[in-house]
Amino acid sequence: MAAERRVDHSAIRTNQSFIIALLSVAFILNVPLLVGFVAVVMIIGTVWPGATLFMRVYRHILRPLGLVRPDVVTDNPEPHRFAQGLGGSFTALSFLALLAGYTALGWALAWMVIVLASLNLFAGWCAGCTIYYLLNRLGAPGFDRQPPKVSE
Amino acid sequence: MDRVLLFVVIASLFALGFALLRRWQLRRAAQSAPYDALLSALRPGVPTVVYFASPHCAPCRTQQKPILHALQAELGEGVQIVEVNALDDPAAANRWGVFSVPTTFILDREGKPREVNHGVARLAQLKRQLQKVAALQPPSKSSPRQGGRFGTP
Repeated sequence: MAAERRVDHSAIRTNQSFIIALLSVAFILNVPLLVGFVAVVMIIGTVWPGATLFMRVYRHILRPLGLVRPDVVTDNPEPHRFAQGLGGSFTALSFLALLAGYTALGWALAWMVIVLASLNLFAGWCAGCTIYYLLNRLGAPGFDRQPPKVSE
Repeated sequence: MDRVLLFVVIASLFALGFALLRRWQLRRAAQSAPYDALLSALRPGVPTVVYFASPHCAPCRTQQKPILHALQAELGEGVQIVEVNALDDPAAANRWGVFSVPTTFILDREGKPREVNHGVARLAQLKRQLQKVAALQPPSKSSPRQGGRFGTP
């Protein structure tokens, strides 16, 4: 029997909080470079999960100081990585649109990421994870993980 | 300054939209609840959690269901939990205005929906909501909070 896989949801929530906060600041101060920075962090975190800057802040600062308590649950990390990759892609598109002068489109894409991350953070609904499991059900290659089973 | 104002307006609009959605959902559930077959087997006088899930929902399996098991273990007869598979019973999900899973409704002792949670509802949150709906009712002769349990009939 395969070992139960576990994910620390506090790390994910910290990551989302940083994304929401930084994109909001970028919009308020009109700093497209900050959008680019968030996109780079998200994409690096998708490719190398251990290198996610905001999660490292959680692991090395917030958790040891007791500012955020761990919330480790049985879960698959892949859907969350996919969600981050999706968010990172939209954030990168937002940055490119802002650079190209399509200001309204750029900020609309940034807002879309803010709203989806907020839905995940405050309402517990992960759009990227839902898409991942939908693709798994449709048999899409690379989407191999089914929702984990929990013994009752 | 303009951008701060714009940010506040957009964020407020989203927050307002979410709050209105919750109100709409509670009203819709309240219209359905008195006649809903889902609730026909409920014991009267006991607060209820109506829990919408689906077999393909990971947080339903890994988080919400264990939390509800813990809630049931802690409150025993003081709470009743109705689980609905939203895929098997899409009509019920529609009647209750459910558009994502997990969604949990907290019903008071008269079966009126009082709270709705989108996404995973934590144990402390559910207990707080059940406490709140228990406090809405006049205390029964059997002392609703006896032994830390709610609405013991």
